[in-house]
Amino acid sequence: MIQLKHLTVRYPNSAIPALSDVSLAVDQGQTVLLLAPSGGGKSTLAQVLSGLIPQDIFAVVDGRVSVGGIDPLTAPPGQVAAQVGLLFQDPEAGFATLTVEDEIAFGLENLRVSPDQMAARIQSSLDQVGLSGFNARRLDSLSGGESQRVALACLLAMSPPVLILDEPTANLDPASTREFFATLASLRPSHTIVLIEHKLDACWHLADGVILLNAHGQLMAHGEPSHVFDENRVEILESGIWLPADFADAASSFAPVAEPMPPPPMPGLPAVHLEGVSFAFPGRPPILQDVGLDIRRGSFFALVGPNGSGKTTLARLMMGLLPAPTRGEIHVFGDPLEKLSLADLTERVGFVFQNPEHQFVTDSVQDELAFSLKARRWPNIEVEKRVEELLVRFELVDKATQNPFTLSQGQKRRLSVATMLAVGQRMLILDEPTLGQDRRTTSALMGSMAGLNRQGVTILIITHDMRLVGGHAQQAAVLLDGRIAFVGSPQALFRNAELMHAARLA
Amino acid sequence: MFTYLASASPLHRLNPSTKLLGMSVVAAGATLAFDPFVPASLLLGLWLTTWILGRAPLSNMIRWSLPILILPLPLAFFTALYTDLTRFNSPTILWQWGPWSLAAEGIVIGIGLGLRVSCFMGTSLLFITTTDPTDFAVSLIQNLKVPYRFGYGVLISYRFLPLLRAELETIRLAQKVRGVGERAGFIGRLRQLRRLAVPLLASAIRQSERAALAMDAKAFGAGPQRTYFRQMRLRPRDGMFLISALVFVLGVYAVAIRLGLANLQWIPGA
Repeated sequence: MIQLKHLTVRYPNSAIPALSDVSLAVDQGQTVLLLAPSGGGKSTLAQVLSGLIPQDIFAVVDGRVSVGGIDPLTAPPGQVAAQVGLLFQDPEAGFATLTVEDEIAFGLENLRVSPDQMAARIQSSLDQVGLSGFNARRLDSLSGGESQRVALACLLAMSPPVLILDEPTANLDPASTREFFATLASLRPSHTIVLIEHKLDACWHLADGVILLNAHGQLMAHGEPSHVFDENRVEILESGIWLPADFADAASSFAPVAEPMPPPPMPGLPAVHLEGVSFAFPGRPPILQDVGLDIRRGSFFALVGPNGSGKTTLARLMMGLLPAPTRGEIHVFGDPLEKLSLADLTERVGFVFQNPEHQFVTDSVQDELAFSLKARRWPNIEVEKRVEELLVRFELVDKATQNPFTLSQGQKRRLSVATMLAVGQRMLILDEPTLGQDRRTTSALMGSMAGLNRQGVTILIITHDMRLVGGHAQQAAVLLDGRIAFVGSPQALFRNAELMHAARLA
Repeated sequence: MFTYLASASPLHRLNPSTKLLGMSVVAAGATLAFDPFVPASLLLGLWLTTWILGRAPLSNMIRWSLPILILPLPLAFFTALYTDLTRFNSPTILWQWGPWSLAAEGIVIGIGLGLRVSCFMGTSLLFITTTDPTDFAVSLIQNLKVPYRFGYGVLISYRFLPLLRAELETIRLAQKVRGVGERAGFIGRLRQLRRLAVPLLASAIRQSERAALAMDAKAFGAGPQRTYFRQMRLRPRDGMFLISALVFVLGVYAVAIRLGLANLQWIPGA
């Protein structure tokens, strides 16, 4: 069904090719998992197969490609789209219309399907993804999991024999991820599927084969999954790719069981103390109701819960970023929130946003680090000393004069953490910092958080990733519909199957 | 400011292109008079039509009326202040200070001009609150023969504006945490604007690239023609609406002239 012969793809501004001399074949009806480290050409391959490279994105392509009997490199876009459906990581960014049925019709319209056939095809594709009756729903009213399944329905309506899924569950919570793969399993026999995915535990058993690329875009292995995982374990782990827990070696893996459990936090003063906190935006339904929580100083605390349960609102409230709570009290390092100015608060607590770029305010890495120091009128000599220290500690020395926007994802993340610790903050709040990152970036970040925590910095992390909660957190709280549903050790949380299910964490 | 309210009212059921044309007729009617009576009557007509035929809740109508009446106030005031009073034989001066003088005649002209702007806003109120954005885009393509790429451009801007607004709010908070955001003064504000603009532009460009790729992957733009799930037809009621709009505007003019309230400076000798 898919055939590549000596495929090499080179981007105009890059010295090394993104894909280098890749030859392989995938049979009809097979599901293959495509694995590669960051920058290993996974998305490039997806875009070649779906005709976006070189027709939309310019790159020099050598070699031969055939998908379902056509050549996506030269075939007209309509023909390629009828053969290959491509699903992206962030479905909302790709929607062109406002309602579910219009969005599904969009692809059919482009293929010039007759309007009287459309209703039936919309219906059957929604049935296939388990969203019957969603026809008239507005796209902006869907949850992340529903959006991704609607995006899949859009492809299915165009009935391409080949589906290419580029990290489809990266933004989904554990329950939505499970539901998505269940849908995918039902499509397996009738489609040829290429799946790019980090969450291997949830999906590797769906794969008939695994294609492994290295950082230089060369084919390292292609074969039966357990065979590829067994034979290439060392290479896989070294290149920063996630490995399914079933194959992970206890000593070298990132699996929660392997981590030595940090000692439980010493009973002590809370870094943040919340009592009876309720919050609503004026004229809107309440987001938080009667939340009481103590985050002990020096603890590593995970805040989890389904999308829309109020996690981000709670974190922003602690940081004084929202209007005062409608009821209740918040104390930060002993002082009531309303008594603290923004300057006081940001000196005690750093807040790392999901997208590091949002926090960049200057044109170079060193200015970025010096920014809040200068704003606090530190003497120049002190500023220089501190910046130097941070550059070394966060491995950014050779990037000091570079523009923050030109850094790699991992470097941007390190810089955003460094800026938040510049004035010696005693607590760090991280809102979904690892979404869609590969194992190397994730474990580097979590490693540095663990290091900071050992030095006494209180860490509060908001996440969907139970591996992180199990591996690092000493305490976890579950927020459900704006109320605290659980506070305790991660192990106690994992044992509470009913709650894990209700909070869409399993 | 105004948002679409889904409903099945008679106004919602009109063809969007017809509605657009009808609103152009009313807006043209508002441009041709300089007195307060004509735009005030047209505005009242638009308001009542939106409320009754568009079935907009009264509470929304009142909330939307505020900007319509308040935003043109500065224009009305300065027009009144700077009206050339030499045109009048004996202007009724109400207040004078240095070179500035406020006369009753100037106030009437100022109010007329302000109401004209209110009237334009009234036409968009009627159109926006009763027109499904997707219907509008499809109607532009099917009825007004606008190129489909442009029609989808309109639709995508409907999708992206709320996303960008949410993004801007996140960026603002993200920078506030860094101690930015309490800057006062003109230069400080400008710097802050630039800081917000760079990440916002970066993510807007990235988002539009992603949208373009996703659309192309679904064969958007593959041929000169495409089919449409929604069909925007022209029905007899669309003709009725256009005729009513025209009759309404002409009627307002007839009454204004009959009562001697019309100020039609553009007609020589009027």
